[in-house]
Amino acid sequence: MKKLLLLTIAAMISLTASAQSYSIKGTLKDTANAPLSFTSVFLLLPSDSSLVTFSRADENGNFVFKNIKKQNYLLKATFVGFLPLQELIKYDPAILNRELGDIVLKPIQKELFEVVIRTAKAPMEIRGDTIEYDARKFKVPPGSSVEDLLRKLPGVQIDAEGNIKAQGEEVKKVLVDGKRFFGDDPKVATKNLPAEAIQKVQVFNDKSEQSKVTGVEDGKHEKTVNLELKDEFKKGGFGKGTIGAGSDDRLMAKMNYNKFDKKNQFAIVGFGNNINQSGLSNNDYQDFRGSQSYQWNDNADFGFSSGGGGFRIIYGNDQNDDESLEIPQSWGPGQGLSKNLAGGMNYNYDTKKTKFSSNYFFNQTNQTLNQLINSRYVLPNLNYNTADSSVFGNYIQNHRMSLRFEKEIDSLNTLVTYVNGRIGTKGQSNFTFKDFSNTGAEIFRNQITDNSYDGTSHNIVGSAIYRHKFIKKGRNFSLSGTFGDSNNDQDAIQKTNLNEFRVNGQSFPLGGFYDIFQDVLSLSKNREYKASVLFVEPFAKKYFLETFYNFSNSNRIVDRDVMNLFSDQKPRVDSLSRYFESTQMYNRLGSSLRYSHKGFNMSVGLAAQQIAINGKFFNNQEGNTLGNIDNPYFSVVPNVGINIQLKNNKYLFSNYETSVDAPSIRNLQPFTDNSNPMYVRNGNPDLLPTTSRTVNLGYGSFNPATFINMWVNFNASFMDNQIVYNQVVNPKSLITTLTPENVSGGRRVFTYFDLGFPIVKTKINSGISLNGNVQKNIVYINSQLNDNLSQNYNIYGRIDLTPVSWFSMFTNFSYGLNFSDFSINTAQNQKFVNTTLRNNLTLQMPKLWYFSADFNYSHFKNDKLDFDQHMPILNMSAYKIFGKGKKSEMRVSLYDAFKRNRGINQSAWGNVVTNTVTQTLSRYVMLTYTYNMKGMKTTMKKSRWE
Amino acid sequence: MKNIFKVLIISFLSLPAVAQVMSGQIVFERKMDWVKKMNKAKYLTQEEKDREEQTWKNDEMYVFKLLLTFTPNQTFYTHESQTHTSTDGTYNWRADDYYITRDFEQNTLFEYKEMLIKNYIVKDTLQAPKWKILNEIKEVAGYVCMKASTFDAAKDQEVVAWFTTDIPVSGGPEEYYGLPGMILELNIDNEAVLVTATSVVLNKDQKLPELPKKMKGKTINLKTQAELITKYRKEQEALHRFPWGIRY
Repeated sequence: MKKLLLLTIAAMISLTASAQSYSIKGTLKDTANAPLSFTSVFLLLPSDSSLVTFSRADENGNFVFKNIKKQNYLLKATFVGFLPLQELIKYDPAILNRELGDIVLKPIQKELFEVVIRTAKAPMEIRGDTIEYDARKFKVPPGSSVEDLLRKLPGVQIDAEGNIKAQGEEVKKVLVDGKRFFGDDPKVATKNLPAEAIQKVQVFNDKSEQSKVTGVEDGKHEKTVNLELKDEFKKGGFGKGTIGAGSDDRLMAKMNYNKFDKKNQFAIVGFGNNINQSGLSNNDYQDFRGSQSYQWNDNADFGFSSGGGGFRIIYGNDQNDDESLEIPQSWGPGQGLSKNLAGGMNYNYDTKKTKFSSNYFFNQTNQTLNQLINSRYVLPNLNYNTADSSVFGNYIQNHRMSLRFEKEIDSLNTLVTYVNGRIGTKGQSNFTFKDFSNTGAEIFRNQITDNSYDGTSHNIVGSAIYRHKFIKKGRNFSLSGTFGDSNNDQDAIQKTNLNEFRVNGQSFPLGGFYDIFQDVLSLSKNREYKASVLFVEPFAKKYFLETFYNFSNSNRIVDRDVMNLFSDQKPRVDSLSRYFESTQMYNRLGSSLRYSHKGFNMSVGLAAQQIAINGKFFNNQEGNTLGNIDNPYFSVVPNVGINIQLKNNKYLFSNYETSVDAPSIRNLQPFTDNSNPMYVRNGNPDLLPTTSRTVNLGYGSFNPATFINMWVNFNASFMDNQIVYNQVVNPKSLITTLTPENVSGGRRVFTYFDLGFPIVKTKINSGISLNGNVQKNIVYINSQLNDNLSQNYNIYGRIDLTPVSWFSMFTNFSYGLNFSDFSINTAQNQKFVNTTLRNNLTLQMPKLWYFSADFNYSHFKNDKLDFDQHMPILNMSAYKIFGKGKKSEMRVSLYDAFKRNRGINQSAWGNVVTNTVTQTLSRYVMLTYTYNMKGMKTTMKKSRWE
Repeated sequence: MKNIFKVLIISFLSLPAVAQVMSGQIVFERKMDWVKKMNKAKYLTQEEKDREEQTWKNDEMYVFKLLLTFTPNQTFYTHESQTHTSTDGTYNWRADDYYITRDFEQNTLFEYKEMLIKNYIVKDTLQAPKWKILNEIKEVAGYVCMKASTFDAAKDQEVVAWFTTDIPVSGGPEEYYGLPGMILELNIDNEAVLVTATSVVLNKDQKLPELPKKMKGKTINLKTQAELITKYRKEQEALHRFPWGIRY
């Protein structure tokens, strides 16, 4: 009713308004009384400066606004070189034809206008009598004070004593962010503050102190300069720390702290625990490495741009994770029981042209693994089983360092250099009790192994990459050089005792003495030099010819001495000791033609490469030559790629590549490794590189409106000269000799399909994945071909429930079916099943109380091996966020409530089927306290990856 | 000093000429800053935003050019080239369909563009945003510009426009218009997206380019478009995801 009344009144008013219209007119002039032709004039609402209407003055500076609403206006007029004028025009019902007469625009002080607006391109803000400009646009040398900066500013003069005059008047006050800076002397701020810290300078007339105190306008004004600090100088930092203690002496502590401003990032991180957390989480890694977390430009090995077929001599190709140069990251608790300690610091300096980064990281892990391993060995016409019970004690300690420097020399030239290094020690003790049993489940043999080793190692890699862009767009040149050095020194004591038992069934007598007790000293050194060149030449706008050349030379020395400890003299066992020098020389010259237009990319390329492996091996360092290796291997490798970015977020990609991989040094080493006298390994210096031909096809689409996404991938590889461990098994004693040899005919096919779709938008999401993996592994056993066809099919489903802001539940289910068929003994074909259900639930309760639970259920089954393991794991925690700024969190967690946690694995490979159960960190209760400087996250996660 | 005076005099003299030629072309450079975009995400804590910023601050900005053609009564805005090229010039891909036209005489707008991976035709009368005129001036591409601001409720964005009264056409880049002069710089959400004029060429015989011959897509009006955007933005927000599907 009220509304209706208002509406009627409004209608009546507007009626009268149209009957007696309101108009404003005037003439715009400059201070010399000359008209300002074509000046823009606008009317704004005084309340919020919103634009009502606008017009242009005519040639004589006259303007008029007719039929406008009867209200107060802010009239604004602007003309090049003049201070925009702003005037309040109050509505007076008595005057409906408002005549403003001559309106005079004042010119902007010319110097100010030219310097600020035209030269420095700085915005200038006009606030009544205040003119403010962005000080960042005025360049002063680094390290300059504010005084130096002010000197540069138009309309400001500074005398020898540092007294400041602005627009001819003495400046009495200098404020910083509107506040007084260390007393009344304006020079304190100007002489001491760095110019780089200043964002804006404002010069204005402030009321005198007296009038501020009395509130009585005394007409006196003081010229005041206000310095506004840059945001980045309001430095940032964040950090958090957690400590926790629990049952069974479980302890954990971790902290990280980051401090940064525009150019500098400094971070420290540290943790220690006995709850199997050995690496940094993804967030912690990002916090630690900052702007250097991910580097896309550090690949010094140039090759085909369609990917694949890269420079395949990877430095130190026998390394495992412990020896990698990367800072260790972990995605969940590890196996067994481990004590971990780690920490480091990182410093980055980033400007647009220069980037520098350095860091140091230390980590140490003591791990105990108790494992039960059951294996079935499938041989032509027979099979046997082994049951291992092992205890491993692993010790790792590493120091990692890295330095990186990137310089954009100018817009066309860039240089990147980096050095990464690691020094580490490593040790292991292993005690294994292994029973051999025949098909009648009778134990005919027992092997007791007591091995240990200690080692030190280091590796260092340094690269320099230079990139040049030519003026002609698309023409690029890159050059790189890499140096690598590594050293691995180990001392191992190996002891094995074998016992034989009388059985009714097959007994496989050893027929000799195979016990060992020996000391193995092994030293390996590797030094590598690499260089790469790439040149890209564009032509006909859409075509690019990419030509590259790679060179690598790697020298390896392996010195292995085996001493027999059964004898008091510890004699060297010549048959097991070797000294081996080898060189791998790699040369590749390739070129590809690429077409790129509107998201359609296609390339066809060819490379010629030679891998030359040369080596000499000796019985001992000064001994006679036992053999020579001289294997030059030449090949021509094609590479084809098609990559299409379709409209509507759809992608299609496919490529075909041939790659040739050199054999690893480990397989080339010409010695016999009898560490396990039942499975003796030989090296093979005559190995040829492996050639793989790979086809990859894929399609992906994502619809942001319907949230439906789909991925399909197909990948197939065919291998020639694949390196496999051919076996010679003594049918009487079962002693197996493994020799790496080249075999052709192996292949792998991998398919993947994933579909994600919402059931109820934003509340219930779901997805389904299917994948299939078929591998044909070929191995010769006693010269008889064993075709191991291994098939693996998985179905995976997921449901995400996020119906309300205080509840979320993520569930997934997977079912995996595995088949492993052996052509030499089809009766032993295996089928095993892995099923898992995972559920994560989080509840937010009032007063920042939270509850979360993870329930994971796994089932592993292999009927043929009578393997049937159920593993329900329940983890729960309740926590509360509290304190000022929500910075604290207290949490009580129960880990593995049913005390059923184990590490379980089933696999089938070659002619062996294995299942492993590892005793792993089990039930404990822990209380943790976390303090987060920036406050805890109080919202619930909305996706399983958050 | 003398030079400055000369410049001023020249600019005075050239003014009547400027006032007559009100057609031409403006090249805009559009820069996107992922870090500043992510900073808008309401579901991220300050720590998470700091982490994103510290990790990705060296990342290259996504930059491409657009062309605004204008006559006294009409504007036409689209990509300078319908293929985008990587900074090193060795890759290119299709630019999305983005044709934005305004007719100030007929008081109509016509847009052909991709939104949420679909093509749409937007047809409606002109409905300029509610601008506030602020007290700052600066130079863009040789023109003195005044500052104006508005708020886009559908996209939840703070928009700052720098317009020049020296080009008295109420047009501008992207989908903005309705100021007493041409918008030469657009700053969305504190430079998360910055669209700046790099060159202005006046040409009194300027003709407007042609729209693509084949235009397929659902025809909607401004109100429907705003509803579509708001709904999508809120859905994404509820899922803690960034609204990638719409032009920022």
